[in-house]
Amino acid sequence: MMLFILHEILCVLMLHGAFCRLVRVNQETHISIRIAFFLIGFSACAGIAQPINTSWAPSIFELSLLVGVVTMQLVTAHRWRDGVPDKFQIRGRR
Amino acid sequence: MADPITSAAGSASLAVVAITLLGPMAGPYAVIVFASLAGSLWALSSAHTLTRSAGAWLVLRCTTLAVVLTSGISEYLLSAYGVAQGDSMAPVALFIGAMGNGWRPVFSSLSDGVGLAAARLSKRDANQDQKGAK
Repeated sequence: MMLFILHEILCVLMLHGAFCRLVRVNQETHISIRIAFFLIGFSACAGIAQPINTSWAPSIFELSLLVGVVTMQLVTAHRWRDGVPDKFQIRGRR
Repeated sequence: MADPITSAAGSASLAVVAITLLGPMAGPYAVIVFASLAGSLWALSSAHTLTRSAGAWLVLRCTTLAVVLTSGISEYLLSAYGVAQGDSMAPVALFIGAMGNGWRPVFSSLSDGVGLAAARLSKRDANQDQKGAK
């Protein structure tokens, strides 16, 4: 049960990180960046719904992957404080 | 490595809790809500949203629309094409969510089409009345 609760918390954190970045991006952002953060959000949504809908249970390996993604989002969050990083924009520096 | 028996029992018990709290449709509705939420993230990525609250409002609109429309469209797919509702719910909700603000031109073109059809019908009726009078 603890693994399950941890899994849900990590998925919600991952979804929040993806949401905060997707709010900032727009059509002037590189499509690969948009797809990457969309896929992170998609995976988080699937991860939240999966245990509610089926008898699937998370393993330590899957939790470690989630911890890695959430940590990466937390560590890089300060680079998004002033909006999308310049290198991710099609027209470079704004 | 997680003990598979303990983990499966814990997950199953939570699914039971969800069904107890929200009813037997808890699972399918969770699929619809989270699939549409995932789809709306794509709409969010292409929108010019300046604040988190504006982004949350866009996501909420897309998700609510998907929750309202998905079961009806899935039922239609089942009756017309024999696609099982369990299989079609997630893709339909994802698509509706991903459309985002793109529904406005769809609805406006639909209303234009209905208006055009009504105008043609009324014109045809008027022509028939004229022929009947002659």
